[in-house]
Amino acid sequence: MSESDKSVDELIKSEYKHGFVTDIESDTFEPGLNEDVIRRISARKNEPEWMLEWRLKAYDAWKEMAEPQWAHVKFPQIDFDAISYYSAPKSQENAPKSLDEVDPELLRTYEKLGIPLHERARLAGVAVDVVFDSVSVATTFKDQLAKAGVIFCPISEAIQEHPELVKKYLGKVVAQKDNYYSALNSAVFSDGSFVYIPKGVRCPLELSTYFRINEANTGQFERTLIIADEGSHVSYLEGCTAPMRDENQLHAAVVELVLLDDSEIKYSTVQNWYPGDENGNGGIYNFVTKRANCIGKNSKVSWTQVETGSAITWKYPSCILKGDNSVGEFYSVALTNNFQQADTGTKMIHIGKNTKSTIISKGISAGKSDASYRGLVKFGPNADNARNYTQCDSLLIGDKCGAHTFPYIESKNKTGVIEHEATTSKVSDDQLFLCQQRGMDAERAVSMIVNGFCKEVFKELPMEFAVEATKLLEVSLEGSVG
Amino acid sequence: MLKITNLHASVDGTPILKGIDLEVRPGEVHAIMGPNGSGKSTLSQVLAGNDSYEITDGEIILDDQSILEMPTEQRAREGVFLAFQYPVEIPGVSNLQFLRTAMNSIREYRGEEEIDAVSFMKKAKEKIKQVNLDPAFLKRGVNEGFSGGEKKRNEIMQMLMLEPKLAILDETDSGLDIDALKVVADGVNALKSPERSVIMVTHYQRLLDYIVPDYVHVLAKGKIIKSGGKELALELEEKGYGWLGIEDE
Amino acid sequence: MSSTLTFPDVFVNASDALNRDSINTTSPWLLAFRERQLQQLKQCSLPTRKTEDWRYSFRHLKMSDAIAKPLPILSLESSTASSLDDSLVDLGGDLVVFVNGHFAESKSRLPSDASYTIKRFSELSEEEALQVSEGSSSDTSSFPFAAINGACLADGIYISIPKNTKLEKPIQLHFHAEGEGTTTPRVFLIAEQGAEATLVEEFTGATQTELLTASVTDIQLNAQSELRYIRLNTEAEQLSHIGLTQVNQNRDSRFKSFCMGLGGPVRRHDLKIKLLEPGAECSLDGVCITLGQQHYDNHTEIEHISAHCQSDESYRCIAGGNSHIVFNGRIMIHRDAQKTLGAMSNKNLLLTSNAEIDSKPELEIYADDVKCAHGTTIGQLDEEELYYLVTRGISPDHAATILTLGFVNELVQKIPNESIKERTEARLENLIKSAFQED
Repeated sequence: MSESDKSVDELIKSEYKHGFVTDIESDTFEPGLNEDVIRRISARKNEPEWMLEWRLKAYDAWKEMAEPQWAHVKFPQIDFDAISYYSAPKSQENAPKSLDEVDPELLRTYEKLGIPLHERARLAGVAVDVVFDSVSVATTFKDQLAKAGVIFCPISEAIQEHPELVKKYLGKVVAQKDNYYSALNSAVFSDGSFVYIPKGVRCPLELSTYFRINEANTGQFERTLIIADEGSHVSYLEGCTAPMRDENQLHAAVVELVLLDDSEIKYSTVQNWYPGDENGNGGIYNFVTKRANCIGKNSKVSWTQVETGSAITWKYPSCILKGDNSVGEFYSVALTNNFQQADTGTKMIHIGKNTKSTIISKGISAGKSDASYRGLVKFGPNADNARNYTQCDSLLIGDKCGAHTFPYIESKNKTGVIEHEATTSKVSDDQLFLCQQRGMDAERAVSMIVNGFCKEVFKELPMEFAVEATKLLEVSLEGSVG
Repeated sequence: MLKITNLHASVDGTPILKGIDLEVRPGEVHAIMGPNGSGKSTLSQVLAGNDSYEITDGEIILDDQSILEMPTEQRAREGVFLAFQYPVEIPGVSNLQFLRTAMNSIREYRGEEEIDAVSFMKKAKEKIKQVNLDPAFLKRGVNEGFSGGEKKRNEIMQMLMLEPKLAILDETDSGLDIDALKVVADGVNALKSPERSVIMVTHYQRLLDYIVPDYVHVLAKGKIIKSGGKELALELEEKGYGWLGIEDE
Repeated sequence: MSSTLTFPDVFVNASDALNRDSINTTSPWLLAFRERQLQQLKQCSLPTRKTEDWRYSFRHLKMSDAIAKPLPILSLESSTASSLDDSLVDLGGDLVVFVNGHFAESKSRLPSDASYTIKRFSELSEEEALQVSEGSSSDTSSFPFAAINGACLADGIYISIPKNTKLEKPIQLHFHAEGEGTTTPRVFLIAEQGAEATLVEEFTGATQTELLTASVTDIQLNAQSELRYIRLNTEAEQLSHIGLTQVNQNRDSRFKSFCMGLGGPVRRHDLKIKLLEPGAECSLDGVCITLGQQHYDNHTEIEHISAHCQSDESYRCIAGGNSHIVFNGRIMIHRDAQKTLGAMSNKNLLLTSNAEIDSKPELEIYADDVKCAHGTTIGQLDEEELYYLVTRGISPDHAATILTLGFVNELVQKIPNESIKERTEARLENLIKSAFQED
């Protein structure tokens, strides 16, 4: 091993900063999945009959399905009977009316994570919903949002309060049977966020959800549904963390975005689930289905994501561009280190006329990790004058990692134009030497180069997330080459 | 300032430098000339601390302390600046960000405050004009898409910003037309002071018309075979390296 | 999908029948070879929607059991032979003609001296037979049509170019097929150290019923050798052809290919390169055009196994009518393949909105000190360029033809044989003209 390899190894060692466990009394189901479990989840949530039926239908479908094998990731078979499908802090049993009634231990957890929930300490202008294990524990700013007509609440509450909206849209973007994990999620999801922006409303605040897995041996299956009515506009951010545990935990979420005419949703994610330790033990399996349906003409959806966490990531935030002139965007930075594996990308399905999509994907692989970009761009026969531009770049740090690109480009319309470019390169010794000769240490130099590499994506993030993302990359790379 | 004694260095086991002795006092300008393959660039890289080169013997003293064990960045913070023969591109990282990170790294080492944004910008704009580059270059990626001449001028611009104690110019003149050469020379001359020293590594005498050296050394096969005043360079230009019994490879 | 093919059983039966008929006249090594391939064939299944490697093309695999038999023996004096004469363009070098799987001696011209070896599989020495047995594609599990070739193989062509031998004239292999059934052309070429040659493989023929060509070419390039490879998959549109070319490259060898593909019921060519030792380079060019209901699938795979190798690939495809083109290019860079340079470009033109083009340019990289890039575009002719030509008095159809020809011209100009270059230009011009008249 050469001198520089040694320092690569040293430098890549970084510490996960959100790995603590909150000692809190929980109501947790026994591991295992059967119809009874689903009935109990539904009962806990006090759900109407139609919701239970919907879940059971999904469960029946799931039983017949097989796990997808095509992704470029390797992991041992998941024992779905060893997972608990419901866990909630005890105090939730009598749900708090306001933040003052929230368990102080929980509030301290979020303080530690840097997400202050108290009104006085909250981030200015951001409404936050927090999901702890299986339930939503607090939503801030509800009143102010209500004045604008915006509904922002846990999805369990929406099922009670706004059944017409939930019935109309739930499972319409991501069908129950869309894939193995979406079927599982449809059967067992326990909470998540629900957003409705009425006609012509520009949401006055950034909306944000923080997800936290705390309990051991539980899976997290949240479900998010955002509906942007005609001419509305919303920016939504999500963040996620989990404790450090030696065993793998499953997170299988579904996010559905519905866009009617002239609406716009900007959906940003900073994903920092526990990635496992430097030997590849533990970490979250992040198998997520995210999709937006631009039903309405002139609608626009943009996915921006910074992914540094999870042992395995399997997700492809997608856009169905059905409405004429609709626009889909995907900006992604995915960093893998140690033994992390990521198979991630997007799908742009162009159905309507004059639809446009942009994909900018930046993958950074370090350590012994493997990062794959997998993306589909599809122009249907009616997608006249559709346009796509894809750029997907990979940066390699160290010689034990892998970076792969698997684009699928399909066109059935002669008036469409698809452009796809991809490059793979490394942080070169020459670049590092130049930086060091100008006085920087290797860590700082790598962080600077990586940030430069990701610049096009970072500029799409809301301000406070951009800062967080930059810091996150620095930590995840904590010194990266020599 | 700098004292090199009996320096031996090799690459992948092949000896390149075979006993270099050189002393540079504060304020002096030294030119190191020699044919291709004589070890000129190796000497520059070794001084900067490139770990592709192995020091097999000898000593390098900078301001009374050995720098052999110092990593590259520490040497830089101690005031050693290398203008590269082939400056590398760093796509995505702007010149401004690059320079600011470098300056603050050096300041931090010296226990100084970070430079404030306003003074930094002012200085950067001033220096970029000094090397006759469009200020728009400041926002572009480091050397990204720069022509050969622009890269060299960018190196000099960085030198002016970082104000090193010892500037080593590794063939900074090669590939430059006469106008660009003057710009580079003006930059170096502007930096000259009684405390600062310059080592110019060059193949051609031409640069020395604009930056007048105090001493000229001829390097061949890894050793300094002749030293003298500036007139030595002229003599070399006239008679060629063959005059000293060495071949230009 | 709706293939009525009983697979692999009908081909297993065909292989058994071949053995029955020829067991006494076939050399033992070839019988053993056939047997090994037959065992592999038995493990194969027909690609389906879920077969990643066939995801875009499986639906064109519509054959009936009638296809699983050898083609009839043609008399070279018969009237059909005239279509052979029409399609056979003599390049002036050595020429080997196979008609319906049988060596056509009267149409061939074998080398007059012993500067290199070219002979039929039935004539191989023990040593040569061993080269073929050991150097032939063996992984047929993912490629059942190569297994069909091996299991039903009656004869093949062996070429060996000795050390430092430079062949000025191309080696021309011409495979002609007519009638109903399956033909299995197979070529084995080894270029010894420093050898240089040009190999041309051309496929022609016509059928009123069903005809499948399942071809395999194995190429072994030893140190410093260079092979220019021209492959013309240009049969009449009724023929199906699924072919595989595998190239193993040793130190500092160079492989330069030009593949021309015309569409058919199901057409596919897999070009697989292994860069095994430092300094090996390959450059792959391809042009492909489909019209009507035709299909063509280009699969290329470049495996960088060793350090300091270079690959460069450029494919241009044009789809008109209701046709379907697939490009699947894969560059794989192994852990030890540092200092690799890889570039892949795939540009596509869709001439109608009933045509479909699917492109899948993949990079799989396990080394860090590499520079790799790929670019893909799918689009149509530039409106402004068209308009410009029309304002100069050129008819819109003609203008479109000119621009479409321009789109592939850069690659056509690189064809390393003048005669083929001219023929390809003329052929492309006719096809493109007819594509615009189709509308």
